[in-house]
Amino acid sequence: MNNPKIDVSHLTCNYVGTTLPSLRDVSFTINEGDFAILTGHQGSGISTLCYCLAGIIPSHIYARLEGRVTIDGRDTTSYPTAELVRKVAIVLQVPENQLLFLTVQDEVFFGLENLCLPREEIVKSAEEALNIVGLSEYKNRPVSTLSGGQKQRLALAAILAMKPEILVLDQPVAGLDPIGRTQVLASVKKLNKDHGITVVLAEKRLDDIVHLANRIIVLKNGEIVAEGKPREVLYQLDPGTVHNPQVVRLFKECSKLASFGAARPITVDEGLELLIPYFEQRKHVGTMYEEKAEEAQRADIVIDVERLSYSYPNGVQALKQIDFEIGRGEFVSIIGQNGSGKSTLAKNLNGLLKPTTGRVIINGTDTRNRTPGELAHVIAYVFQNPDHQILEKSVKDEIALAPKVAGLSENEINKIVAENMDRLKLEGLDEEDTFFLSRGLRQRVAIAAALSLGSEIIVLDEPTTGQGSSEAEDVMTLLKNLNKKGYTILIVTHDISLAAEYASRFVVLHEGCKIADGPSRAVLQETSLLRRTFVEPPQITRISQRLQPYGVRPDAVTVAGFLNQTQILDV
Amino acid sequence: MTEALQVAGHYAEANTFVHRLDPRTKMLLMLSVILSAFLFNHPLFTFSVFLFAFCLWALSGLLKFWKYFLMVTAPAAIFSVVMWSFYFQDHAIFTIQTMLAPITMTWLGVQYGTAAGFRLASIILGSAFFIGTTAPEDISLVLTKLKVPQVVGFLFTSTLLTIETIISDALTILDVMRTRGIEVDKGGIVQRTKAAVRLIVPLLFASMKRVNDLSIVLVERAYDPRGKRTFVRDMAFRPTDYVVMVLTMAFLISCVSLRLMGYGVLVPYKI
Repeated sequence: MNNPKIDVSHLTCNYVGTTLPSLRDVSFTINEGDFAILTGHQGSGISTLCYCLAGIIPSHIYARLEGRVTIDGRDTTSYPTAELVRKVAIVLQVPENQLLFLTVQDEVFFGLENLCLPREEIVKSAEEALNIVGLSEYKNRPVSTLSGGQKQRLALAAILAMKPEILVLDQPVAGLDPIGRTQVLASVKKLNKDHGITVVLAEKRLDDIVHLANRIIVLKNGEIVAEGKPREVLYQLDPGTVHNPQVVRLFKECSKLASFGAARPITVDEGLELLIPYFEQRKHVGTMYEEKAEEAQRADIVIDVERLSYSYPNGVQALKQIDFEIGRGEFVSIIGQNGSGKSTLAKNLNGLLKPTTGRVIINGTDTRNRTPGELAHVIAYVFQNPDHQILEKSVKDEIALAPKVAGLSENEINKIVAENMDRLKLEGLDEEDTFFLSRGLRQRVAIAAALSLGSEIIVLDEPTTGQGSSEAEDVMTLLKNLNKKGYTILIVTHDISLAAEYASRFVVLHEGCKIADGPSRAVLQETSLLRRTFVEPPQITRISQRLQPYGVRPDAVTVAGFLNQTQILDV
Repeated sequence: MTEALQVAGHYAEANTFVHRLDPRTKMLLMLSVILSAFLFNHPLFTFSVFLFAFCLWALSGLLKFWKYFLMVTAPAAIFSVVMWSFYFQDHAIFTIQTMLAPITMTWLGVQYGTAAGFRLASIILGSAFFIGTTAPEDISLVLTKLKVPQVVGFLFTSTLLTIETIISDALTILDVMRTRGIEVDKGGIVQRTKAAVRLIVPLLFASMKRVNDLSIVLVERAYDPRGKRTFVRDMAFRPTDYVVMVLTMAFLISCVSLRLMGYGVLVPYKI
């Protein structure tokens, strides 16, 4: 199947009102049946390229285009809409934004109804599509009762029912929890392998995706910087161009070693095929180096959660008898899948929700006796979506808002603004319009605003969701720096790889119950327990666990730590 | 209040007798409530219409939302009573001397205002009954069957579903404001208005992204506002629908007859 399906030729795209093009002279071909990954950091242009491939640009989003995109040899702009959607269809990042109807079945019917197909054909096609994505048994369910992953699979089914030949997916798993991510990727893989649909998938994080593809196209600032087979491209690229899977980073470091030759593994299993014989031959691993685990400081308890249960007014019990304490200066991550009660727990900490039974004590204050505004002086809360948190026009005004409401003097407010701008590395952006900042910067402004009342405990709900790896690492590094200055950090996340690198302690929730609580490295060893929450340890942890019989400590969380411990490079 | 609006304009899935009725029957019931509410301006008669609407609402299993209904209707009804009380020239209950002119509360005004309050409550209940028991897709279908252009039905449906998402965004932004010490549920009307204004910009910003995605989705699903569309869903009258329709028509004819005979009129030549 080497027939060119998509041909992109010298494509340059400028959005109205921008001077720099979002895409510059982009050219490539995708063959029928290919599974191609588009990747790059924030601002690389992968979403714009998806819109161009699906014909959304320039037909429905206006932008100046030079060059052309052809499908089956015909320019996308020359297709009538009804014909184009059966050639190429796009699935977007946020599942909720793509669903228009009340029930699963109605959602899938809609596109087919618009094609004015006979009723029997609509029902048959809808059933087939729901079957492919594994949602047949949910067909009469209200859409609102589905999980994030199920919603994204429904969006996929709604498109599939219209039988497109090419599927373009714009970061469809970026906001999903591990189980949702796995489910959606399994459906996409099935479509490509079993149904021969050509897939173009844009994604910034590659760990669990790269092995599915036979092509990868890497963009940077709107230009293609690499293109080819994933195995070749990922090992050629300069560090930092993409977020390489940990196994690739490990073997890039080991590339000088004769033992591994020119091997280029991209999955954990492929990596282990090389590492196990290597360690079998090596009698001695080296000194039992330990990655520096930070000791929890629990002497001064700042968060005390006692037998906390919470039920929503509709009767759903979201938290059941949760108990834990957090000491000053700890960096804790609350992990679990969607619906496990993570966000409900976080909202109980800042007083937005009050315990149904039990109590939450923050810095000696019972949350039941304080409003969220009063508690904001002792515990800062950063919501998931920065779009919801920017209330003022300029960065300076945003940070000054809460102190102003609290009635502080002009001098005090100016001091707070200056301190927080410095703390969050926002210097020089005082008068910048908050609504036009990048997502990463808006996130930082939101953190600065949340800290403006002087609290030294900060709770962040999914601070890295929907962000590229470099932006996510920026946020986490910033939090780590705050932590080093004495701030207590508590993040709610399902990105376990990132959490493992930065947080020293994990609290794991499952169906409203706390099922684990301890040093992050120890919790990562509880693989069967983590499996219950559909959380998989980072690649490097899984590698170190499998190498434990050869004397390797099983709790590595970073590539550098693994290399130091095993001293592979020193042999 | 935001939660109340969310519940009031929301389809509440259930398997009640009313839910099972054909959407056209439910639409006739809603229209009969609205029409009859406008036929009378005597409080006893509008109260009767209100009772009829309340029974429909209760039969639909929506009674559990009474608190939210009260939050939406009570302020509107009270406002109506207060405003109309000072409108008419009649036997004064009391007079207030203001800087500009004296304003007088009259017995006729109180009665008329009460009638208008019940009318308003009936209309809200009647509409909430229809929206609460009819899936948005069925509303779209019923409008198409009534030869309304399909784009109108689709807009109506998508607006109902989108409002819910926008309100959910608004609730999150209100939570953000609470964590910054802005008390949105406290203080005087000026303070609350200021807080509400602060909500608008982030709400618009969050909605813009959603609207952008929705427009792409509509293109991807080959939606053409001027084109034709088939419906898999269908409607069929069952014997109970015929019975309910006959009873509804009888109720409506009785109301019109009473009005023509001069009953239920407190102030002639006025709605």
